[in-house]
Amino acid sequence: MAEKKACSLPGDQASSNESRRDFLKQSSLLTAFAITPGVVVKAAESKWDEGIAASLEKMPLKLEINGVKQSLQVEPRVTLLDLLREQLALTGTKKGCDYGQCGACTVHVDGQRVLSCLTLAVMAEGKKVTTIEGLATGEQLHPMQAAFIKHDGFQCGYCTPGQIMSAVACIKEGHANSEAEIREFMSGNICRCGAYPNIVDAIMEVKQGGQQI
Amino acid sequence: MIQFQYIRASTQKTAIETTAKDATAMFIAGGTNLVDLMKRGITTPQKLVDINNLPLKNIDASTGRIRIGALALNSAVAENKLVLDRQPLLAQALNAGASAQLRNMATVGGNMMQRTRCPYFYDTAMPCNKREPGSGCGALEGFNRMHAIFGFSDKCIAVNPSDMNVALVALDATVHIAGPKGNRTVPFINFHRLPGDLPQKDNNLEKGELITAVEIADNPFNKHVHYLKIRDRASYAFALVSVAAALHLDGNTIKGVRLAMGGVAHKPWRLTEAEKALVGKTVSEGTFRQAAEIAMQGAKGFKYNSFKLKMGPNAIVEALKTAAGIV
Amino acid sequence: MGFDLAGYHVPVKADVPDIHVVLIDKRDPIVNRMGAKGMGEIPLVGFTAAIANAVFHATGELIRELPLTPDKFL
Ligand SMILES: Cc1cc2nc3c(=O)[nH]c(=O)nc-3n(C[C@H](O)[C@H](O)[C@H](O)COP(=O)(O)OP(=O)(O)OC[C@H]3O[C@@H](n4cnc5c(N)ncnc54)[C@H](O)[C@@H]3O)c2cc1C
Ligand code: FES
Ligand code: FES
Repeated sequence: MAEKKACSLPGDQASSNESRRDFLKQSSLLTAFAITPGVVVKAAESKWDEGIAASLEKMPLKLEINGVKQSLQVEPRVTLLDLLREQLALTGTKKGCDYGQCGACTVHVDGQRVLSCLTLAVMAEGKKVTTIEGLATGEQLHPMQAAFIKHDGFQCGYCTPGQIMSAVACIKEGHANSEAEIREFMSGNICRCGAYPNIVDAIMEVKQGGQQI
Repeated sequence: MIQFQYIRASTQKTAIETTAKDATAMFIAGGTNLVDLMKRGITTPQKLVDINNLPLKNIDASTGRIRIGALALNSAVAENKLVLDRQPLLAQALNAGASAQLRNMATVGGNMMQRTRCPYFYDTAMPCNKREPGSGCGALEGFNRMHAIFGFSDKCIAVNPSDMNVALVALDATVHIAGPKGNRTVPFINFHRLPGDLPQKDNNLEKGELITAVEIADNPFNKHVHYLKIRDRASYAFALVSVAAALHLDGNTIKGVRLAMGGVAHKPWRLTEAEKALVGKTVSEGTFRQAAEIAMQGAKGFKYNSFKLKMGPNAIVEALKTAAGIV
Repeated sequence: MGFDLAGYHVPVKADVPDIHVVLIDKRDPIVNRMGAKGMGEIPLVGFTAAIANAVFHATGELIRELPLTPDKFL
């Protein structure tokens, strides 16, 4: 993720002390809002060393990931994608571009397919997130996973978790009624290996099979 | 990404107050544009006010209009029955934009506010008056294939990239705004600005003002409509040129028409003169061609985008033909 | 100028038609023991010209420069 030179890298407090001080002052006043990092307010009130406060600038985050309730601490700038991959070791979700341009990071949030690279993790508070790891039931593959294997819907596999998450949602949304519709509504998932025709076949089969997805 | 403070606003009032009084505070809705710009260091708010908990998601119809909340998702609007029945042009334009995943995140307010995709705006090593006022315009003499042919200035030739905006300007929408000084409404056509000497200002929203809704008055444009988007690939790409066309026909006679273009100016570009020329005429390719020529008056191309001078009128004719059903 | 995937357009599903894979059922005992041979990059040499010619056939415009973007057909 691009860091801006003049500003703070984690642990680089010197450069951002000015704004941090303002921030601490303001934080202690912000009672109207549901969320203010509690530790930070406390730090401001008790005039803790700003260095210590800085390392505490994380916010509490409660959400459910693949059916497991998580109670976490994250910096507001952490994306859902980075939270999944870096903090929770759920590396099935891929980072292709990090700018919303490829679809590799597609996950479901409250059942809707979204791009985790453009979602701030703190904005998923209270939500249910499903990643590719949460699709299968034990050893039993999800019908879409099985169909991708059957139809050879991938080559290198990098785009595949995003394709599968997107494909499941595409059917659930009701956008898989024809090949043309699937092609349009699956165009947000780029595959550099060119597995498109096989991916479309896999989706058609799952759709026509009428299995529970 | 730089550090920032994140605040979840629980009321409209606190959201507005917090953003109005702090020069570095911004609203965040779907985040699909803002998070992108923040990652690249183009936009650097120190405080993000998350407005997603505000009750601004509703789409409803009453006394002769549809009201769409600013937080309604692009996908939700495009699938909404009221919108499909009464304003299908808007649904078409929304579905032509971005991807299914992005439309599940993007909101109506955020879409209106999305910034240009000019590569010089995006590249922080390049001059750009919009990003860094006074630094110059890299596109003027640079690679300006995606740029404006109408309404540009010597400070900026960027275009507004939204598809939704093109439909909303054609449909004469009204923007509802709440701000520190109270509520106001702005006709959609006056919401976005031309660059002039202040290309850093995309629109006329003041600091701290929140878009709360967009309204479209009922109109007879629910049948003969077409949104045509011409782009480098068949989906998931910004428009080279797009046209929103809506006809109100009585047999073969044009009783009313709305026309707007995207990808050609710093704001969604309404084609009022061409509309005037069409009213009362009979549907035919020749009539549409004449109107397209009127629409293109005053257009000027740059080194790499002169193709738009030809693509523009062709697109207008095609969109009108498809809307009229004479293809 | 295409500095990322939003400007450098690789095809999406809406661009790509059905692709028919043709297997040439002939053993090559020299390359490897399996007898199979990949074509890999060999077809890449000809396919852009083939597409340009197909586009010429469809539109009457012979474009001699890649990529074949819509603006070049006006
Ligand atoms: C790869 C890619 C391709 C895309 N392709 C297209 C396309 O083809 N066509 C198209 O039209 N769009 C396209 N988009 C852009 C997309 O439509 C916008 O990013 C989206 O609409 C922004 O909405 P948002 O809710 O996510 O806004 P955010 O990112 O949350 O906010 C954007 C701006 O709006 C402000 N804002 C948000 N809500 C309000 C409000 N209620 N009142 C006042 N200010 C507000 C924010 O402060 C911010 O400045 C694309 C985006 C990406 C990443
Ligand atoms: S990594 Fe999110 S869209 Fe590419
Ligand atoms: S399988 Fe390699 S990118 Fe899709």
